[in-house]
Amino acid sequence: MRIPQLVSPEQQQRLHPIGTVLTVVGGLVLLASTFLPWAYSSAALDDMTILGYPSTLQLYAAGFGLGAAVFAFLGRRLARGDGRQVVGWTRGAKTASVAAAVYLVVILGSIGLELGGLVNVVYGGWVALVGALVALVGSRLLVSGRPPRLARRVPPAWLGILSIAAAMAVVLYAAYYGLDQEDAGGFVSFVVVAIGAVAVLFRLGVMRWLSAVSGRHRKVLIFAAFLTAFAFPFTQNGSDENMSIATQVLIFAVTALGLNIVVGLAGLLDLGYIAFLGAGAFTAAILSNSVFSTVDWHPPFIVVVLISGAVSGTLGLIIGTPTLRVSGDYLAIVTLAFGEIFRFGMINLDGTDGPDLTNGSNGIPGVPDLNLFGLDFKDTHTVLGIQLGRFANYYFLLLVLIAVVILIFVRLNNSRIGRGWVAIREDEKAAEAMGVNVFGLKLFAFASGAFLAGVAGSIKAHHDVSVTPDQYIFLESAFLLAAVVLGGMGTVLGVLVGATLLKLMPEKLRFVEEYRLLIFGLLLVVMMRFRPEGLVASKRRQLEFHDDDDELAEKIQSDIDEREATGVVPVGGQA
Amino acid sequence: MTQSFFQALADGLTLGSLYALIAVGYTVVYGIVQLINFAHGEIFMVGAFGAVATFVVLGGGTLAWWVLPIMLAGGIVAAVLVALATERLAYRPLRNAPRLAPLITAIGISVFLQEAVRLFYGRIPGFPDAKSNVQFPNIQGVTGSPFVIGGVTIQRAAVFTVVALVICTIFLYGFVNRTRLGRAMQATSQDPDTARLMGIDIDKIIMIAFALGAALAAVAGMAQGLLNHNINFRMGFIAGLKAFSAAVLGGIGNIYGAVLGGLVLGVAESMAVTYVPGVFGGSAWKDVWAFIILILVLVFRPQGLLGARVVDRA
Amino acid sequence: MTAVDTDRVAELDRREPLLAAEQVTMRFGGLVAVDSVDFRVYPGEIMGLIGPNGAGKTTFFNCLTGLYLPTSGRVLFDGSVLPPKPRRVVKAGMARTFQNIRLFANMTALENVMVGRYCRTSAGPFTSIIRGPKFRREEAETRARAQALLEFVGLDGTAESLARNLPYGDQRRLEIARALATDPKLLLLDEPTAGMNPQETRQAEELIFKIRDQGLAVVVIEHDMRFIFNLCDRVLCLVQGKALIEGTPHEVQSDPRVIEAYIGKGPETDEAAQTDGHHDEQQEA
Repeated sequence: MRIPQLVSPEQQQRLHPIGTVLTVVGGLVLLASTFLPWAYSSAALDDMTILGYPSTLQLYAAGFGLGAAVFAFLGRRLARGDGRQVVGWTRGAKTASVAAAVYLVVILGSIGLELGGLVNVVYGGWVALVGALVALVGSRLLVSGRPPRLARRVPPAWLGILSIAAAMAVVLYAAYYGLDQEDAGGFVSFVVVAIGAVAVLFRLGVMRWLSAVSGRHRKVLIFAAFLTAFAFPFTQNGSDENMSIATQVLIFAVTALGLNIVVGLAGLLDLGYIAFLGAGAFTAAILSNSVFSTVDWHPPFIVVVLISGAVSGTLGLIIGTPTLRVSGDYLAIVTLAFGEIFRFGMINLDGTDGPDLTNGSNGIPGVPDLNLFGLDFKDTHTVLGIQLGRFANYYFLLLVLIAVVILIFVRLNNSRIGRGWVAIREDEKAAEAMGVNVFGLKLFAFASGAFLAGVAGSIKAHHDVSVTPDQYIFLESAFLLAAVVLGGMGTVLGVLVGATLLKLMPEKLRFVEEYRLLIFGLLLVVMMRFRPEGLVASKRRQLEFHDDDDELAEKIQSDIDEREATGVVPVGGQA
Repeated sequence: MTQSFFQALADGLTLGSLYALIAVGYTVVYGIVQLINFAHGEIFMVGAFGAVATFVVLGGGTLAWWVLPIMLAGGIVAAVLVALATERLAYRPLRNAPRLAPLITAIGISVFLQEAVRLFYGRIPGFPDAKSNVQFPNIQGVTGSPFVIGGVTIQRAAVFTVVALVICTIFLYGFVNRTRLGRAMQATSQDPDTARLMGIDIDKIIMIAFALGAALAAVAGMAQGLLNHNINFRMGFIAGLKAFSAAVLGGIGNIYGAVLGGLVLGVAESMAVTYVPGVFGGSAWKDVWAFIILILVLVFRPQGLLGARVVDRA
Repeated sequence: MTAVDTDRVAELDRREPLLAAEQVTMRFGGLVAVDSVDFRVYPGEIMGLIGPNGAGKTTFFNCLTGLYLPTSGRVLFDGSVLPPKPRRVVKAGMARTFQNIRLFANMTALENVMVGRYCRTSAGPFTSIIRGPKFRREEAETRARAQALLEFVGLDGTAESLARNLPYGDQRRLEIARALATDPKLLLLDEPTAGMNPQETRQAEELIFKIRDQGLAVVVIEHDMRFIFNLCDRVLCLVQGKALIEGTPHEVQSDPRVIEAYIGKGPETDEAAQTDGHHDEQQEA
């Protein structure tokens, strides 16, 4: 998305000094205003009534203000010279100003909403808003310059690794802090700050630098990421509330990753994916020791996992074999129909309309907790003096599963099979004519996606305690698809981000609960219209969705060349 | 035995007429832009709600027969406007995008429309709350005591549905074959590039296809309301799926195929409920049978019964 | 390289043909698109296929590549009938390029060629996931082979370029490299010089000779007569679905019927025939 420029590039060249002054002044005014009271009462957000020092939320505003001022100052000479800098100072200043303005609107809006009217905003708040708007206008006059060169700087290994570690620590803290926000206003403010900060870092070139560094120290990055995820339960000190959300996010993310193999890699639209999750969950529940189980065979969980996966995978084969031969459009509708058949089937297999397998719409309640390698999942364990409850146990198990799924995803993508998938997405006929087994690869993607969903379902059954047909309806499939689309088709990070956002938002923003589906229906439409490649875009997907954008192609080409030049791993593939 | 057969046939034809009316919308749009408009089921739903809205606003509380055409017109207007809006705002910008994009958009629209009706319909003063079933007015003449012919019970609304399909089919035939626009539409569906070169305004043709489908879907929405006496915001989902199956069954892209496919699917579904023995024959499984027919068609005759168009698109 | 000595052709005739079309006829309803055509291609030769618009070249081409099953007659490749699946045809050793370039536009040049190796490699999901020795060996081989092929067609510097960013002529070469990656015995080129400038055409010519010298058989469909007469060992001219004449470029070139078929009336210079035919095809494409 682009924010329109106020003036033409030529005028920017001329107005750059004025813009710099305005941005610096606006940023400093905003900074100063945070020492003033913003709200009439301390009941809104955190306590913003104090004269003398900023509250936490005010501190964020101060950060954006300071950032805008400092970056604009550092970029003051850009209009002269070749317009290329090591760090994208003016770009950062522009984004920081936008973020500051958005942030203030959100904060003042929340104060108004929570206290009943904007009269409750005190003079400091208005000063802050004026500062932010001045900075915004000023920053619009700045010259952007060419993309920063920072990513080409190769730091010493220790610095690179340290940066990765620091970044992970920030992520961990952000997760902890974000989940800790109880009220909606605080959470929204936090999300705005987080997005703003990331955007500023992007524009400065720091993110690209970091991603280049991560590329050079891939193993360190992966290790650090999992260590961070592993450390998360230890920040919760036995609180089940956030851990429950976290496990739900993980289940959702695992399933979405599986769907991303089908949609993002093979380019097949599967609208009944939730049914495969459901098939796995029902299989696991039926084979569990639940007293409501309808069969007498209760094998150990390891076996159940494989059976659940196999059941879902087989269903995938049954659905896929006839439809994948025809055309992609039909697959979408047949999977949609399959999702419905599955739901009807589960409701009908209740002993009156069919054989008794699922107890109909009551489903199978009382699925016992897992017990793996002598570890009973219902127990609370104390490690290093920190309590890890039931959800933490599931969290760790799901972490292992997600690691496996990510491994499968990435390695398949970067292999002969992954190349085949890309070729099919690009030009199915040409791929077939070059000897690619189009049908086989599609079927493999579809069935393996189903298999992974089945495996995830088997854990979900135990996690949820009860399995009922109404948990596995079409809207859940659409929800999963939204996670993939929002995050970025074909990327791991994107889906993790998408799944987290989509699962977390409704949990934290109770007031939108009613509008949840409306919003994400709209989200799908808007994403497809304006950013079909998702928040975290796979380079290739981006190109596919913007087929006539040659500028983009050139840009990505120069990225590839740049990466080649700095000796960072692969090509064109995973972004 | 014969009585139950004819009963099943009558029920099947009613259901089939409903499917056929909706299926035409899938088929005309697909024929021209090769887009499966998933949201078409929701257009059907909007048509039904539009009819109720018209009843509330203009009907003045009367159930006399003359309200029927007014409601129908209201439903059609609502459905056509919504369909054109989706085309203009959501689909048109994606016309050259990869095929995944419009499909995902369609899902989004579908969910959005359902939710918009659920949340906002009842908030308009005087309108019934749409979060659960909404009563459909029992218009005189097309509801009330059923006809009984030789032991076969036929609802008045069923007669309305079948007659509506007949009229619409005649109208369609006339439109497609006798009018300039209709011929332009046919030309576009056969070869869009040449049609464009011949000076046909493709955008206009696409809009007409959407409008045409929406109008018929609104008629179906009306019929559904009369048949079931109530409507709800979810009604478009399953009906849309079935109608799509009907369109595929008839041969997607072929208008008469959609009509035939709808009728065949309706009758097959009704017969399955009557004649499949054992527990699977119950009405609980009727939707499942319809989808199994869809899958079987795709396996054995992907081009459909009247298969005009070879389905060969990635 | 213009004249090809008849001795060599005679010698070729005694060997087993690599591709043999025997009395191939293809009907669409009432229309006979291809009528009892015989056609042989021997290993190591370049065979040209020419004919005016609507002569049935494309239909015949599709019969050769197994896309169509002939109404009567048969096509033998390496002594057996081809399976009617493009993928199996490739596996059997016949690769093709497309008249309107169909590269994987958003993949790099190297990746495009690596896709061509797909049918000659077999790393499955399991070894791909655990990165087993087989996977690593095969992946390295694939990469090396693709790189070598890029060099072979003269695209050494462009391995990391996105296919869509390559100049037109390079895209044609890349398509040939991709086809060669499937280890074909026979390469079918569908208008390899369409839209090329004279210099690019010359380079294409050299490349095709180079491919022939590797022992491959090449079939070229073209409209640029000068190009085809320079290039081919033998030429088949199709007119209205029938084989009008088959022979050395010299024989075909000097046959009045060919000229007539192309320009419709009495003898004119060959220069005129050539430009005319070329012009028509440009419109068709």
